[in-house]
Amino acid sequence: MSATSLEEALNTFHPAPLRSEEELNLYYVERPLSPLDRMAIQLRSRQRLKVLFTGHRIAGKTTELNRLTANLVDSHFVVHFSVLDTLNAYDVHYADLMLALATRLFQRATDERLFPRGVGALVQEKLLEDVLLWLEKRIEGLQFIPSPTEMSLSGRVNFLAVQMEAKLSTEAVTRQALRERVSMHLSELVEKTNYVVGEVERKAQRQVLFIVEDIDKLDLANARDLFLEHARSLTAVRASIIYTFPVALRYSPDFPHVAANFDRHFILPNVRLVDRKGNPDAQGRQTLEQVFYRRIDRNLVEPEALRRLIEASGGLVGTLVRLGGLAAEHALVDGKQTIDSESAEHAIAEIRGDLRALLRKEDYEVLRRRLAGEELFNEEIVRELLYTGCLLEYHNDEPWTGVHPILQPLLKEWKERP
Amino acid sequence: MERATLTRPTLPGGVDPLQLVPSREFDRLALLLSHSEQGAWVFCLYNTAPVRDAIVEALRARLDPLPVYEFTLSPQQPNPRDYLRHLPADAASRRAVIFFYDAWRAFDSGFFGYLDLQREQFMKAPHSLVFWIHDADRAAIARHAPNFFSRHAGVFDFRVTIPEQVEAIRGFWVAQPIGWDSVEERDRQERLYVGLLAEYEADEEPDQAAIAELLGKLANIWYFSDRLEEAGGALQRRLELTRTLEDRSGEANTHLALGQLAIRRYDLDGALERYEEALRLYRAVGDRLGEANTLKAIGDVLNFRKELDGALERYEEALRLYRAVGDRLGEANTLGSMSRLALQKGDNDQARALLQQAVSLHTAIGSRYDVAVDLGNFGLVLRNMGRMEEARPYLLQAAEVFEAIGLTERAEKHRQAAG
Repeated sequence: MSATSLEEALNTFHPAPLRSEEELNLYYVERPLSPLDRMAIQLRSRQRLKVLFTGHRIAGKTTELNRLTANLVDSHFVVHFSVLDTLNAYDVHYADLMLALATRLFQRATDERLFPRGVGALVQEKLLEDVLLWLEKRIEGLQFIPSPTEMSLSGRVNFLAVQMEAKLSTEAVTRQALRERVSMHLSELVEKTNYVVGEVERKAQRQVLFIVEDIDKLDLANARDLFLEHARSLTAVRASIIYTFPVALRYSPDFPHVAANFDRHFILPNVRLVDRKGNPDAQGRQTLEQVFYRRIDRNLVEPEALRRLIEASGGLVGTLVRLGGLAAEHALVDGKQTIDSESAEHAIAEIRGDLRALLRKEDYEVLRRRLAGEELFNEEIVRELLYTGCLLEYHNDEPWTGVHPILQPLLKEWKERP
Repeated sequence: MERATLTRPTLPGGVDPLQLVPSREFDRLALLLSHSEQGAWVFCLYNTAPVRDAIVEALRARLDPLPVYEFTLSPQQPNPRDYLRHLPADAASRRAVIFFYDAWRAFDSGFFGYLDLQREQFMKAPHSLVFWIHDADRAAIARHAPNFFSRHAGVFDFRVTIPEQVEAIRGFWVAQPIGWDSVEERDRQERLYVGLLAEYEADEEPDQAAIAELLGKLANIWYFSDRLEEAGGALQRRLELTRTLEDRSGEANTHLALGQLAIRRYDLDGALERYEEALRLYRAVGDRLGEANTLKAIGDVLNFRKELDGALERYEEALRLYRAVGDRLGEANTLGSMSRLALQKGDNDQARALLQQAVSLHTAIGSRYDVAVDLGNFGLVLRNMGRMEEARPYLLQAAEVFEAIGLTERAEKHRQAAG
């Protein structure tokens, strides 16, 4: 339900992705040019599709993927996880990632809560035994609690897989040991994973789809190494896989080499507020209005204030949500009943302050050139400005970049400085 | 090293911190923290640690009954998510506000990575995370932990904008005595003085005298926290500064503190060397209290070495000086030491008389803790001399006083010693 008071709005404008079905039902708004429907069509019609998915930070990638998961639940056996959540490490090695894929699949496929009567039917006993033996071999000599023999085979595999994941995320020494062992036996791990994928697909009559999030949040060099040097391993499992991919790598000279190893690459564009020539885009603005009104009653925000907030968001849903929360906060402190233009301007000034803190002297010059209509080239400074969100990418027929609208007054001030 | 009485975070002249910073920022932050059910992540800018601490206290009062916890980051503790380990068991899944301090100290130890890569884990607890940072840190966090930063719910500015006010606040705290009655209070003071030290060091023309004073305070805190390496490092720096400043009194105090540190390291020769140096300097500047403190310390070393005549000579000299300057605590402490010395020399009547004087004086001053120490130490010396029957009443009396002032562990140890 949308907030019916400004106090409530402090919670409905919480800047986090929509995760649960309830949140998606309450707040999700279909956005123009979202590639997710196309992605769903591709996933339904093709098997073992390997996808790279890119978008700006807080553009709404996680929310879109959560919605995709909800939409594919009938046709796919979805294993959706975040590498940050699962591995909790600075440096993610390709072996960690492969092990995480496998353990997450084993956990889901043997979770008796999910399949109270069907685990045995879902994966053959013989195959489970094989997986169990393989896992036990890999953890030999490491500090693991042995799986209780009185448990069912699926229970024992689940027990070890859960434990392995917990250790991957919390124990650096164990992670390193597992990394070395898995690297030496990677083809075996892929083989076991593929067996289980095949069994699940055959018995459940659903395709297995892995959604691996947050690789785009790793250190850029780490992500580059994973995608460029280990693309073959990342695509070796015979299932569909979606990897989120760093937007900055999308603009690097390495991108064509990376993309060649994957079937498709989708970009989640920011919601467009103007076209390339600066003409207002009614559809984009309407979408963002809906995003706002899903979270707050329309009587609590003055139309002009909302127009300013949408304008300042640059079409980033996450930024609009943050602006909404900040504007509600300012209105409350001033004892107002609604978000008015003054509250909106306070909120805008805050987000501008965040971006201003990031700008270096040389950045101003590049942004000013772009604002004056100059085309920018694919160079380091431009990639960095895209990475920090000072430059934003939009789509008409083809992609184009624009200066974040919230920065424009700063650039004007800078230009007028003596 | 001496522990003074407890001090609480206040500003000079009892000034309300909200008069120095924009109250709008305070109201907005309090509003957000009190209403945010899923937990908001915010950054608070500050430019002087005492104001930061005063704002935290004011927020704590405003947010009550919402629980508030504090977590200090450092090179040894760079992972902000470790705050969870320090929470009470039932607090992990309940709403709470966590204040994080000194992120800048952890910047080179992986802080940004921990912050950024654990974003999803941070989201699992309904805790509001409040990071106190300097203005320059904001850009560093935005650049090096962009994923975490992109989810923050606000930056609140609590910087004092009038330089004279900042200077007055810092100066006020540099001049305050230190002291604590709990580990939390000790940690709070350490954080305050580490913060002030960094502020002074960052000035274009650092006030070296203030820095020397702060190093002394920190050395004291670290000495009582058993962090002797850090205490030694701070004292060495202080020694160099006081020499540069030609502050002979400060230099003498530092030698005295280094002597006490040497004792903790069982380096008695080293301690005596430091004390002799301190004594020379105190005499040169005419600081009779410093001289008395040093003579008492030298007496303690000689007593420990069983050089009883030499020890007695120093104690008597110290006693004369304490009486001359009217320092009753020093006088009482010296009488206590002399009573134990008399016991060792076999002069029982003299020993009991001196003990009685020490206890009376400590009672008059109001220090029950020292009364218990006088009685307990007297009993322990008797016990070590094999005079158990005589020792027992003193040990039991000491236990009773320790119990009465809440030091149950010390009380139990004395009861055990009494057999």
